[in-house]
Amino acid sequence: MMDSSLFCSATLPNFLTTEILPLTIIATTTFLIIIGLSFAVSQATSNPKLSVWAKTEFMQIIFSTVFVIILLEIISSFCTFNTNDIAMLTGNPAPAIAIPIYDAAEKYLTESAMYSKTVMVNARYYLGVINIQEMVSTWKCPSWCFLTIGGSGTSTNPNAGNSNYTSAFTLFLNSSLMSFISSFMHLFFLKYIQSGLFLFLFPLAIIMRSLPYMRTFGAVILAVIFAFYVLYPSLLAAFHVSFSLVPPIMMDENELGKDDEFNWESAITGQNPVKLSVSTNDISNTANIAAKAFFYSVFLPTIALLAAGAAATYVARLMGEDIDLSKLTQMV
Amino acid sequence: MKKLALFIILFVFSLSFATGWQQMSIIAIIISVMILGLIFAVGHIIDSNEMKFLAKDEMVQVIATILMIGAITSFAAFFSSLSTDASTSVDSSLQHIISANNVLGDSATVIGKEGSKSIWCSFSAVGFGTSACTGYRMVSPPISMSFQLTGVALAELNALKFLIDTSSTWIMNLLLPMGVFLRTFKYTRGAGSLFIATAVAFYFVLPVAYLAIHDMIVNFMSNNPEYSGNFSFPIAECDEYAIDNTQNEENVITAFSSATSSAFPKILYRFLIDATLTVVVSLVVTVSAIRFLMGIAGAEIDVQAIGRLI
Repeated sequence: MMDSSLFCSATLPNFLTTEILPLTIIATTTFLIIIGLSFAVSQATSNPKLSVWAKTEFMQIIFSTVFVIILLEIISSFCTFNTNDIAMLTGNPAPAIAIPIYDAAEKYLTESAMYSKTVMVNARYYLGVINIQEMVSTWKCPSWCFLTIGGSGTSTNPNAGNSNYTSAFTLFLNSSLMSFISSFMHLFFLKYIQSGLFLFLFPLAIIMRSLPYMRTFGAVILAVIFAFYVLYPSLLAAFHVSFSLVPPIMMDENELGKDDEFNWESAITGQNPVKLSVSTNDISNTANIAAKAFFYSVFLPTIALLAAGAAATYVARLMGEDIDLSKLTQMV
Repeated sequence: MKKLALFIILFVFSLSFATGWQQMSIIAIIISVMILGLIFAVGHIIDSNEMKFLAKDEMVQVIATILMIGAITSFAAFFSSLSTDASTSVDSSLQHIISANNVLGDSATVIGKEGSKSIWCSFSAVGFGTSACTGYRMVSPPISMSFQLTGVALAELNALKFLIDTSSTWIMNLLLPMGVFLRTFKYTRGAGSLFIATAVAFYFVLPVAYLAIHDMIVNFMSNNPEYSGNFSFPIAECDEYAIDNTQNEENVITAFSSATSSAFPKILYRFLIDATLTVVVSLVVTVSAIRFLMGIAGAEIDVQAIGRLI
């Protein structure tokens, strides 16, 4: 009946016409009958209050039905748009391969997660290099040590100072981890939307909007469907078109355990035997990509979420209700 | 019919969007006016005052959008050089932090190496080992903390620079056109206003706020050399055999005192004032501007989530 990615799949038109539309018609007809009966009773009993209620509800149900039909049309048409249309809309060069909106939104979040993951891996790599380097110890034997039995001399850890870099790289690791989690949070949210679960709320929205005390709930459902099915993925797709998220070069963590990273010749001559290195330049570079990861994975998706929330508020306001979706932004 | 409408919209878009956001905005307004005209006509035919009122009310919003586009277009040319200036200023702050980081790195290497020195002496089956340089490690915690501070500063300044440098990509080519387009229609007015407010705030307000604060800091630093300029972190070599005197301890205390009075204030000033405070205040001003501009753009939306990102 409903697969994991119903939206913009081949089964969507059939699903809308065979399941959602009949349910919507049944809900509308049922309430039209109830309203008709109420109006008849109001006329028979000369009850003006009931008559006004019936007329008001009649207008509301017509309005809801029209909105649902428009929304279903938008959702159906929406799937024919692709990244070329978004590029045209935003004045960006068209991508080499045009992909549908939902795929582009998913690709943006996947690429931003990949970017954050690369930063995480690089921070982890440098922390590993620091661990290896600070363990390197050199032993020097002065001339008189040959006179002793058992060996005497001085020991030094030449790279022990690199352990001070740990605080900076740990910071970048934590920051990129948060960015990574943020990308995945949005990705799962998008997949949840894409599963089409909200579509089942269409008929419910019509019923709810016809019940006096549940009208706000009905408006919220319709507003949320519009904002999160149409606007939220469109914005993420626009980010995909506008930003080419090429991840930075990922350091190879497997290098950390390789024997050929240890230079025996240097060890014998008292030089630093570890070929792996870390410097303050690596701190600057990692800070740069960690900042970009935050921008791609946290800042831009948050803007998309806020815009969707703002649109939902306005859609609900248009239907005469005032909803507060600010709690949704606490996901940030 | 649906396909035809879609084709017309895309055809109109294709004529305009490639040439800039101003033309795209005009097309959005024309479409909106056409829709409003239809609503008014239908309202007139069925004699619905509500529909006619809606059309008139929306026409006022369209005029407001036109005025906004005019204002933004006028300001865009004037403010375009500000982004470049702000980016150059961020670069100069970044260079200070990077050079501080390099000095700290050199010091960390020396202190780590000297502090790890130890001796071992044995004869036959007995021996002893001692480390006369352990005292040097007292400098490690402040250096480690300094790296954390400079790391935060680098991330903050890089993020700000990226925001400013890419403003033409994601603000003028994405947020602003989409904002104008979305604001034209009632259903998406909230989202459109948010985008316009965000675009104006990040393109105009953020560089201005940053430049204003940065200039104050530059002036302050030129008058107070104790907080500015390069610094060094000299530390004498440790004698690992000096186990019967306090020479090493005196060396490290001298170095630590010198760092406390000279290097650390400069690092803290660079981190706290030139990086963190400047960036945070600039962003707070920008977010406040978003709230204010959203009111002007005709939408009251809670944008506290953006503030949470700071």
